[in-house]
Amino acid sequence: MTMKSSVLPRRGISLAALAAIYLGLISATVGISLSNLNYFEGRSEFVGLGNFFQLLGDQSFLVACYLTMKYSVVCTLLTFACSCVWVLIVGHLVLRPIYLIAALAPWFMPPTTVGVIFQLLFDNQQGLIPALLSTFTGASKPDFLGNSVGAFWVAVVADVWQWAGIFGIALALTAKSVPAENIETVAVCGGGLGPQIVAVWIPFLLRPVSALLIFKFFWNIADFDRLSALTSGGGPLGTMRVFGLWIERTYFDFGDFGYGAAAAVAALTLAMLTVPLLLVLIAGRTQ
Amino acid sequence: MSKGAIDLLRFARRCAASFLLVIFAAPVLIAVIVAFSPPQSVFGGSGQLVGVPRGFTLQNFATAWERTDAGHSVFVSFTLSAIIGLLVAMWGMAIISSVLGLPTRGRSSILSMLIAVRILPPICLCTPIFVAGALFGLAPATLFVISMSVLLVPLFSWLLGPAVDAFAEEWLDIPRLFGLGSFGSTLFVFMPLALGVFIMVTAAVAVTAWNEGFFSSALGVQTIIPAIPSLVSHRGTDWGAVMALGLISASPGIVLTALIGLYRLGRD
Repeated sequence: MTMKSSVLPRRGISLAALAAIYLGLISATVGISLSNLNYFEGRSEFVGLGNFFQLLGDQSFLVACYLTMKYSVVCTLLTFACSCVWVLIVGHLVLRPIYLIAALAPWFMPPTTVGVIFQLLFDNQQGLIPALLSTFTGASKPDFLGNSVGAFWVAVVADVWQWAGIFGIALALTAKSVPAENIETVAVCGGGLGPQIVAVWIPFLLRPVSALLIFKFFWNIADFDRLSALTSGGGPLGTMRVFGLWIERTYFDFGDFGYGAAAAVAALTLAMLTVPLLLVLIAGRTQ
Repeated sequence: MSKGAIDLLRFARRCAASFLLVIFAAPVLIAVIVAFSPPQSVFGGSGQLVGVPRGFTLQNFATAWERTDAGHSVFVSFTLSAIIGLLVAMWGMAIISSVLGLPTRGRSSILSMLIAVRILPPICLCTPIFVAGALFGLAPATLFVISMSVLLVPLFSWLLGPAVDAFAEEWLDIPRLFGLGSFGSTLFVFMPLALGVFIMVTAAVAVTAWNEGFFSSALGVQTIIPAIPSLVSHRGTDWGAVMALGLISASPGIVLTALIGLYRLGRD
């Protein structure tokens, strides 16, 4: 008992340090958001909630939020759908080296590299895909990256390409945890694929899959590198300026750290409100 | 279902799997072709797609190397990634050693919390790091190492989760009898058992640090990633050089993927 009581406080230092740093970063961001700290102008005064009120009336911020939500939801759902197709087709062979390499290679590539590769593929002048479409349809080359709708969907395609494989592996490993005897029981009772999905697959997979979707959604909210490289910093006339690009511009083009921090606090609040839900979902999986 | 129908279904499934493999591989293959093709063989002087290249050259790599000072960038990226990998591994092991002695439920709760932290967008946590850097006059590389280590430690600890789950608390009793503390027990008992996973996870963390673009460009650290978009220009882009630099930047990830594939091949 004596040994345990003396060891326990020391053992938690590494965890406590990590927690303290994260709490420090969050509190400092909140603190900065209450000021008008400008890096270029060298001023910093307390403005209270002024930045937050200003954000609510800032059209560019609201557009960035809307675009980010749309982008994150579309990417998350399409990645999920494509990874389901990947798992259904490849099935239990998903961990075979060839399929594993195919799924992991895009994920381990730098997002910036993925961005420039897809920029090349869809480039109006030199891209392979506009050239092929033009050859087969006889029409002029479509300018995917030159309009907001095209740039949005190219960004989605690049994201799905990078994530579908690793998502498929996660899904396949999760599906392995579904007990075979439950499926057999439903089959013995005369249940086909439909009842099996309703009675076994959905109850077992709902929590882990929901947790995966939440992760993917928030990772998409924080997307910066790939989108920045793909759209050369925000797309045509800034129409692809999602949250990450907006905040980067506020910080480093305008030096407006206070205002940018207020936007960061809004995103952090959304994330922190989701953490308990995520913990419940992950804990459910563990039990 | 007849045997013919089953065979047909299998064939269709194999075709679909091959098609998906092609889709996964195509962008990388195109990047490789463009990077190794002589300039203006894939794209003509007017920037138009000319056709399938004939020939093989390393000229694009030389161009990219010269124009972006890629040798220096690769060195900086490699050094910083190695330092971050090492720091994260040490910090992560300290966390694992504090978690190992707990009952299973406690371990799972802590590891769940660690991964839940990862949903906080890193771009939203960067402001205090820049302000601290300006206030204390810290070098950009130091700030990069600190920020990436803090962001990657939760991921490292969580990725080691399955190995931690498989570890029985009683296995720590023997080293404790020899007077070793929790960190020593982890080092001498847990590490040898989970060495393969530990190395893979550390490598994955180092590759993630190598791939990071936002922090390196924002802090002004000359890693290889911010150099890639600098080659793209509205006045005409040398895509051969861009793809060559892209491949250089992707090489650690590709090597790691190949190693994981070989590891699986060995196990199969």
